[in-house]
Amino acid sequence: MIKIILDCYGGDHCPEACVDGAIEALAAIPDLYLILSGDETDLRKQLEGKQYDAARLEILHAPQVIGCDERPTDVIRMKRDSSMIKAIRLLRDDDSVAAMVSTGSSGALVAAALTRIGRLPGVIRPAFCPILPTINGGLVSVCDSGANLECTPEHLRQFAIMASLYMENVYGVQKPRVALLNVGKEAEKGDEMRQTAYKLLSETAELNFVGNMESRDLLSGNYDVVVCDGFAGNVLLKATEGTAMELLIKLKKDIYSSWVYKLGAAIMAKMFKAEKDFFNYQNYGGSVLLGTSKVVIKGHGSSRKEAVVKCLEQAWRIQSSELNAKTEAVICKYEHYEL
Amino acid sequence: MFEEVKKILAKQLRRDPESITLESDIKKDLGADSLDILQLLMRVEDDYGIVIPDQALAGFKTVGDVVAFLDNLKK
Repeated sequence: MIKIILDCYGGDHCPEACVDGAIEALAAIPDLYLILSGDETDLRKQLEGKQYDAARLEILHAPQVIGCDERPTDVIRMKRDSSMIKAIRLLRDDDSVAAMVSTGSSGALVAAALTRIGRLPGVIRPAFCPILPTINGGLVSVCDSGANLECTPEHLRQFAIMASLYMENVYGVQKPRVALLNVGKEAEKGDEMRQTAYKLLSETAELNFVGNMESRDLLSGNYDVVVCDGFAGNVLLKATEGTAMELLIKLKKDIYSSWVYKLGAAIMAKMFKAEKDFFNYQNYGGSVLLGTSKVVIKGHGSSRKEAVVKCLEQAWRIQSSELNAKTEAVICKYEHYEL
Repeated sequence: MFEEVKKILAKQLRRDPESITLESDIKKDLGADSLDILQLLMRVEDDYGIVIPDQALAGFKTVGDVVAFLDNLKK
């Protein structure tokens, strides 16, 4: 049985999306055990009249909620009875709990995970690693996408190792192609940090490093892992999401501007639906925090039931793949390397 | 208090508890970094329901410093 704790508050559609997602995940995964963190009375009300295996679900009472506008460094110490902090503490203190999923504040989750869960031995800085679809039907991960705004080349090498093992062990990608996000493809491109990182990545035997990449090639299908500092990664991710979203909105607006276009769109409805699904983040799970001693997944703040299910499946798959033990074994080889 | 701090540090840093003394330098001898120290203090805050002032965090060099600070808080 794999035990996962789900923070049911803090996201836009909480707690409904979390409770419904939890019920669906329990039905889909027979060896999943869930702990719902949040206000017990409210959660019991949400569960009323719904069919689920009560023997595999329990509630951790946590009456406070952390808002997205609250300062992470304050709330992780002041809101100890919040659904997020109580969940993190249980994850830390109970060896039988393997993972945590939250759709709440990213900043608070990172701060709470780093200061309470801790890191795998040898890991300098854990990093966020979301997954995106590529145009050839594959997946690409971006590491780091926002946990560390300033990084060293050694940080980037660790991100590359962790994300590469993640893609291989959880998504079955053989010899993941690792690229360094830069302003050009040539080896000498970028600032000193990126030039040094390029050299370091090239020298790392465990990596299938294929060189620099430009942001426009993110979804090309030519890469499996994109390594970058958290600042660049966050900008890359949001620019990509925003472009895809605006493109769909523009397309819809144009279609409605003419009956001929509408007719054409009706004929192509199936294709449009597939494109919409392709860009829908709800279908790709959450952003895993790689390098923490236990699995922590941040779901999108706007996650609905389907996205919560994906996040829970993702946590279950990561735990089943024993990713942390494998990561620790490789990272420790480079533990004392300093530039 | 020393025994409790020692137990937390040993588990967190995967060290033999016997190798941790009051004189141990948290960074130099035990190999901890600033995040490890924050993690230790957060655990102490959770266990004792206290909030350690930010300005005190920078003053912890040895295990003895942490123990002395916590002993003072308990008084």
